Amino acid sequence: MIIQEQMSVGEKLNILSDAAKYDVACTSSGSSRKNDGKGMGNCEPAGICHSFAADGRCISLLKILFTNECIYDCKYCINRSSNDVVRTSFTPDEICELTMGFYRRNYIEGLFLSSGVLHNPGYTMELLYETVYKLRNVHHFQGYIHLKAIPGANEEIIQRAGYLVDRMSVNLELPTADGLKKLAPNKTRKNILRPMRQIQLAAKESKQEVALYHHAPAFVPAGQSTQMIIGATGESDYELVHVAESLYRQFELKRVFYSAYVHVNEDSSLPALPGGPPLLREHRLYQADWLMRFYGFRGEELLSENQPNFNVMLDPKCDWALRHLERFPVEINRADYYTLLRVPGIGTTSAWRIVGARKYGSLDFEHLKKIGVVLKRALYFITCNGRTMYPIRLDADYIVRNMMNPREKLPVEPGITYEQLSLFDTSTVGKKEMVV
Amino acid sequence: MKYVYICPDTMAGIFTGVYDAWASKVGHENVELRVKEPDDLEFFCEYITVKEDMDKAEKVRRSIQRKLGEGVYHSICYAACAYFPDRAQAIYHTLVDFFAKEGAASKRPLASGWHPGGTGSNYFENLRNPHVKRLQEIYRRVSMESYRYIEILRFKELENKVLFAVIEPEHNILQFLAPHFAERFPLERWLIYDKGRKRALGHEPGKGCALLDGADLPEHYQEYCADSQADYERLWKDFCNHIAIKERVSWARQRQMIPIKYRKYMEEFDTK
Repeated sequence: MIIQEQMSVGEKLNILSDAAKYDVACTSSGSSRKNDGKGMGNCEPAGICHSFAADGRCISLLKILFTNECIYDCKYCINRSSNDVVRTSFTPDEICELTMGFYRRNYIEGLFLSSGVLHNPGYTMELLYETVYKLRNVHHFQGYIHLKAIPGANEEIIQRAGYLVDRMSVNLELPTADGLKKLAPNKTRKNILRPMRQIQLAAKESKQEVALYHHAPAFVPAGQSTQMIIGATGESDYELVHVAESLYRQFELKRVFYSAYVHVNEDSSLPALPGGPPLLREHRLYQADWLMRFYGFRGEELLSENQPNFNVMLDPKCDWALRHLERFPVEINRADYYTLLRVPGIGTTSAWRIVGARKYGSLDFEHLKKIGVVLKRALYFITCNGRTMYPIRLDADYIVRNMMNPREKLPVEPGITYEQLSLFDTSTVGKKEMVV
Repeated sequence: MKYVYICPDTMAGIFTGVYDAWASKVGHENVELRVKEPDDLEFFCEYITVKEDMDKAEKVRRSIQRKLGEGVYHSICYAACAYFPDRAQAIYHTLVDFFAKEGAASKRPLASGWHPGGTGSNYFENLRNPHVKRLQEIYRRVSMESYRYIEILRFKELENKVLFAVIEPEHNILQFLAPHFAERFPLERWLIYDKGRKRALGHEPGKGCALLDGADLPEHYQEYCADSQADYERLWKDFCNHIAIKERVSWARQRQMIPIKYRKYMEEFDTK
């Protein structure tokens, strides 16, 4: 292990932002704080993305590790103790200065502070606490702070830190306890879930207190989040969605982040992934996540034991709609908000606009187009005043074939299917030949 | 016969135009409001130049606020600062449709059985109406751009501790940035400069914000930057390069999220 003394802040920043980049959560939303006139900064509830990195991910917070010296040996992690990388640590003052300097120039929305485990979890958490304490009380910083809770630190220090920051998160790391045992031998599921429960209960309690006494300090006002790595162990999408759903239900998390596994270490227990990180899979999981949080879908509606993985070609909502054609077509001028939300091509914004606009008269396809409904997908599932846009058939194969080919305006006769071909294919073409 | 009212290019000017056009009683469908002198004159068309009148503008402003509510008024203010030449037209016809047609009917339920409510505070939901739709769109574009500049504006620290930023927005959004930055940096002196319109927005702690028209930007303002400015710029640039995961690099996605036209004053992008 190389530990360099006397590194400049710039070098440290390079190393420790490099080490922190695999953390996905970079949101600054969910907290609304006004400036009290004595310091710098406020929190915008919608969140602000100040820039975008070369991978297209937003840069909203100064995302750094406090230190990349770590006693743990998690196989997937670039900072595992058996890796030979340059190790360094910030001091609390350096982090405060960087945060304030960046924030003043409108580069960032706040600080995202995580850390490797230095000596032991309690000691590390103590350092993180000291940093955010200084930032809030010495520098009077009132912007957004996202802090990682280190599993294994004592409850009291997590409790104290929670009152200083906007969001706290504990990484679930891997979706199953078996995977965790295999790839992160120093971490246990129980240890990870304990601080998560603690934060949940403290936030709940604090919410009631704030309701009663307006100026009571708020505990983690922007809620709690977590993240898990996708594709490092062999679980199915069904299991992942199930885990996410139970986290939302039982731990009242604000967000669950999915991070496509990036191959950084060579280890026999890690998958090779020659095609790069499983980005499409990650994308499908986020789509499903949105469906669960904003569209009123339940996990078991999207996937089941028989169909454990998402369709690669179709988004989860389209896929669901095609399996439930008995619910369609939906009449735009009558259907309630939640029914509209289930139509592919209609999102929360356009559903609200439809509900608002139809108070003034009936809507037609022309209006829908202007409102922002994606008719390319929606036209197979809706009627306006009892009419469909084109003469169409409510048949899964037929709809898929036409949806896949957006350049064609008018639907044409089907010939191939999106399902896997089999030797004993009984598609329409085959049938016709048999009849002949 | 068509009547074209040419309004001064200010919010009060557009509101005066609305008042004059309405008072002329030539029939709403024969009226067109513009903010710019036309390049080619049309036949069978009378051009009337509107003179800004604070009393008339105030009357229009008051009835919008009273009948349509604070939210719609807010949206109309944003729309009035847009760059689109048809904004005055969209504002006028939206108001006409509300006050003379659909809003007048709001006292009784519509044919569909819905009661649109006594106030017009949700009249902007009426996206079936092409004028409302257009006004809504103009509002959205302006408010999105002002939010965008809240995100991407970059302050430089000058030698005298003033934070200075240059922007080149499409719409006239400078005044909409004031509440956000006044709240965020109450103890700082800062100045935001709209290069295209030669307007400046300044803030002094304890005194609030002020707008200045016709301000010129010194050519070599970069020379007045504090010494630490270059260091922070380099740190920020390095940070942005290191935070990207190289296995996931996607320039197209980056360009989609932050189009190149916005990158001119952002230190992390090399536009040269």
